Amino acid sequence: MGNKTEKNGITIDKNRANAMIKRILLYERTNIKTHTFSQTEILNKIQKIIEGECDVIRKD
Amino acid sequence: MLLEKIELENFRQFKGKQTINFSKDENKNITLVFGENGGGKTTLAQAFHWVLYGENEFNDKNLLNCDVIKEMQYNDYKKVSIKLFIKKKNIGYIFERSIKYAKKNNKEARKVDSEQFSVSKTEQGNQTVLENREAQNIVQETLPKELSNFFIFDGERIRKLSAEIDKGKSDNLFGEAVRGLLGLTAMQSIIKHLGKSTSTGTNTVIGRYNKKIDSTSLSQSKKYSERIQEYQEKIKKCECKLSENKQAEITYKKLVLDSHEKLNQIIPEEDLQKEREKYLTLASKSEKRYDNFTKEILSTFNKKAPAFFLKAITPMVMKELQENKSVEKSLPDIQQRTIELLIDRKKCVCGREIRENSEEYKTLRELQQYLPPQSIASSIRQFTTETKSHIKNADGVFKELELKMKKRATTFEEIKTNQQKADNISDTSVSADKAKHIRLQIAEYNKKRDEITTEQAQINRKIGEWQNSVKQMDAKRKELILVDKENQKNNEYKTYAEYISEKLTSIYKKEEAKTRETLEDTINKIFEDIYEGGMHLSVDDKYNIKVSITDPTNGDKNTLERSTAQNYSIIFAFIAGIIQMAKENKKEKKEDSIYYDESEGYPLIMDAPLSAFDKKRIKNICETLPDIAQQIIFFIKDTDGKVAQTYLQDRIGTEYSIKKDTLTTSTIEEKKNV
Repeated sequence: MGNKTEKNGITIDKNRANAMIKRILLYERTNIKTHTFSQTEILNKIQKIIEGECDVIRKD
Repeated sequence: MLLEKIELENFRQFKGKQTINFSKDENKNITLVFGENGGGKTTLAQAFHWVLYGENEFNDKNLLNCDVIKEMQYNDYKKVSIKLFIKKKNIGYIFERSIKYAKKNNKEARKVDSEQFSVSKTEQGNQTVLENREAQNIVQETLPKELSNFFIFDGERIRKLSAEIDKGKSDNLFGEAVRGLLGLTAMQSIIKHLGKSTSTGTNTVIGRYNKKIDSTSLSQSKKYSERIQEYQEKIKKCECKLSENKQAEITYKKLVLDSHEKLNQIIPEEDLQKEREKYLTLASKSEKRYDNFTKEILSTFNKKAPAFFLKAITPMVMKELQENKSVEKSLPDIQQRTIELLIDRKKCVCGREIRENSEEYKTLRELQQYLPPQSIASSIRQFTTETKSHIKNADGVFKELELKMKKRATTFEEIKTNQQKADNISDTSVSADKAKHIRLQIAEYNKKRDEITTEQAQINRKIGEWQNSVKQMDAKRKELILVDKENQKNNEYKTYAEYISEKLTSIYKKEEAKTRETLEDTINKIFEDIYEGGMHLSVDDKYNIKVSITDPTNGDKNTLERSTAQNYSIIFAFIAGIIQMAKENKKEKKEDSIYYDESEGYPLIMDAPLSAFDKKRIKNICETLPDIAQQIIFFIKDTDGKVAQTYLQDRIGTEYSIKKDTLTTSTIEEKKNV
């Protein structure tokens, strides 16, 4: 269970959670620079990582 | 990040092209620009704001040098521009902002176009011009606007910050600066944007997921599943029944066919039996008729034979009766009871009295003997009439009897003939009964088949209805299942969002507390260097700064009434503190480096920073700041400058002076032999 944890009956994969943090932080940094923000962008990033479409950091 | 140079063209006091090359020497990181009052020190500080962000705080918004305007001819065009050269990670950037003016009358020139902004990038000798959005991004990335108050500031800004410190409450400027310079802004932003697990609004990520999740669909879907199962069981039972009925229908059909076959075999026997029954019926009818004839003969004989036989003596009897007078003695229509009534009344209808044993009495009694009901006369009269009638009827009696006897004999022959015919056909009544029984059975079987057919139709109709319901419910269930699948997904996404929000909040809180603690230590150290010992600066969680005096005897910290110099020292300490931390933050390789923004070292550009301080403090500041910031640019008035020059001597890389040529034009000159 080193890389897994349980929350609300859902098994959280810590690696995936970290990948999300990285992607969302990248997005937020860009967002801070451009003064824009979109929840949809963050939703997409979370969903894509869970769906396995991407789990590595890449520049948006 | 290093500022390399700034080029000004016709910008306010600076006529033509004028350049300041900033010192890039790590050990001599100070660029000192002297200037007398009105020479253009503040203009130079403002030049950074304008080139980077397109903003300035001049009251007169005309940026073109006044002498240039004077020299321009009507409809001449002149450009105002500033170029800022920086180097970042071995890449050179040139930020350029310009605007065109045209002379429209003797005194003034007007803008003829909007401001133009561009960033060109020089990497390994290749120069490219960046697109507008990328150019804006580079500005934000290099020198963020929201932090500009902390690395480019002048006396006015110091006064504003000082006022905030006096109020004991900042407008969160310090907090933002700390988070921004130390790379925590993105983390703070992500926590805010993710929201809390209870958020329901659409302006947070978790709120959006909460809105997406439809908690009722799961139970509804289960309900549909249960009902579908219920209907499917019913359909299954009905289908079993249909199959059983079908089998029964086949059985009955076979039974009917078999019965018809049996019946066909019996039918010829049955026909013979019918013929036999016909003869028997005829014989039976003849027997009835025969009996009737017998009865008629006897009746005729009984009725008419006595008269016939009396016919010979009748005349004698009639003669005797005529001779008897009893008929004459009677009174017609008077009965014995009438006489009895008169005797009882003792008075006759004629009014004569009737006494017992009187003549009248005796006459009446005698008359009574000839009166009905015991009247012989009446009987004789009746007998006579009847006898006359009998005698008259007795005339054809023999002929009548003879005829009837003949008919009776014929009927008897008929009976015998029919009976004989019937006897000639063998008795097959058993077969007839059997045929009847079979027919009844066929009728029964057909009735059962009809019942089954009706039942099958009803069952099929029910099955059809249920199948339709199942189809409809299944469609609804599928929709709900889709929602449920979506829910499960959204719940998973939301849980991840909550998890990362909680994780980042925990890291952020820990890191921010640590940062504040470090900041407090750092600014206290710097403050001690700049100002004096015996005072303590504390930073609360809102980044409000409080100064207290430390009593060396008991260590108590008491709040202190502050002077302007103290406030300025605090600001210097604060700004220097966060710039130093940013610099160290950059050097330090953090364990969880992904959480922190890649902070750049920032220059410190200060306009008239030393005006509020005495020589002693100027000395302290001059000795402290060069070690803290990566690059320092001071715009300083000549009086302060001389003191600063004395204390900063070893750290000054480049020195410039602004020479005031006219009231409206100055020239920047580099000082040699620094």
